[in-house]
Amino acid sequence: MGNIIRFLSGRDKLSVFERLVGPHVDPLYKLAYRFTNNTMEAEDLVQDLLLKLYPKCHELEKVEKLRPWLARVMYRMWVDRLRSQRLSVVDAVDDLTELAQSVEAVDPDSIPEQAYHRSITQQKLLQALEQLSEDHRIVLILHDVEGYSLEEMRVVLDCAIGTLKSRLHRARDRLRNLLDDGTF
Amino acid sequence: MEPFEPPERVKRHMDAIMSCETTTQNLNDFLDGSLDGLKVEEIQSHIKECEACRRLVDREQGMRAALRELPVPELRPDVVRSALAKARQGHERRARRRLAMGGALAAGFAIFAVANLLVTSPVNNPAEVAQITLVKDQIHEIKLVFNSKNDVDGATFTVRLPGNVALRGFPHQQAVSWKGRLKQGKNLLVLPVMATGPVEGDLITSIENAESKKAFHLGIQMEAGNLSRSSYRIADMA
Repeated sequence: MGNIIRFLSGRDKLSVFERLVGPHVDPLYKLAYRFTNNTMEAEDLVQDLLLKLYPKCHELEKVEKLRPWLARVMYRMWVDRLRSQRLSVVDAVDDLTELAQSVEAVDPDSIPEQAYHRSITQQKLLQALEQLSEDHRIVLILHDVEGYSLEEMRVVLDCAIGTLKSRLHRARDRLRNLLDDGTF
Repeated sequence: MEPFEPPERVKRHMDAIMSCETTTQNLNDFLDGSLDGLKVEEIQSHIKECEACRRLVDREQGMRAALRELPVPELRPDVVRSALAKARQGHERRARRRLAMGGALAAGFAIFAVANLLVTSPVNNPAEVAQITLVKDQIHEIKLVFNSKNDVDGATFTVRLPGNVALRGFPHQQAVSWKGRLKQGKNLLVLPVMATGPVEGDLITSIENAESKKAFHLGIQMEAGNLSRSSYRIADMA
């Protein structure tokens, strides 16, 4: 009964939380953006993650490797969201409208040639990534885009390293084929 | 019969085909850096000679570089700030609810505490303020027992702390309020507090409903050394 209110004895919980999670916020946001391809959704995902983890501050202190652990929690949150979003046709239509607007917003004359080609390549790459299955897209995002090691990916996706490795190889083959066959 | 020895030109061609296969099959591991040294050397020397495989490696490296360079818009700094503020507020709201629940649940326990442990004195008159001493940076549980003539629903509890005293779970807050209820008879409220520096002043606990308001003062000071971890005070609501 004496422990009516819990906190980390003698320390400011907020500063402990900031010390632990602060260095990971930006990389987590990047990862969230890769997952969602949408700034608002990525920000929401990061905010919800912080809200979820704050009361568990004392548990975070015991986690040995925070980066993959945090990414794992966020990935699961995102998968849950995705499941509920798939039930909503309205959301899907909104996403397509937003994508069309972002493509139209690029003015080729306003950017130098080299940057323009890079922008086209990036657009092709993004569109090709979107065509991949979710499993393939996620392993490519984690490993080739955000630089997670296979061991870290094992923690994030709760999957054997051998499986991840072959999935990654197949994902690259598929991406290469999509880029090669002239679809993009 | 003499073993067949292919001509040197055919041998070189066969070696080249083998190495093209080795390069293609091991391209991912080669670029991931997860290939053993001998195979790495084999592929490295092969791509010096074989233009097709060199193009393959270059293209794969280009694709990976392009993936790494995919742009991400900057994270707005207020996103993190507001998330942390919300997280903190949410946590404190939950802690307050626990505190209110603890007060209500404590009523039954208070009888036990009064009968066995309490050193009691009514603390209604500020002139007779009871004193307790806290050890710096140690959590000290102050237990207040409220005698109530009747059940009181929807009472507002407010705890005001003197400077340099923190209530556990509410860092940086000098006053904490929450809604709760009093049962007829003795009600126990446990306040885990800690002195963070020299303390001067009273801890004031007030209970208020639509009809009345009562405030109880407890003088607090800080001292070095080992003291009892709990203090008990009793106050009459009548």
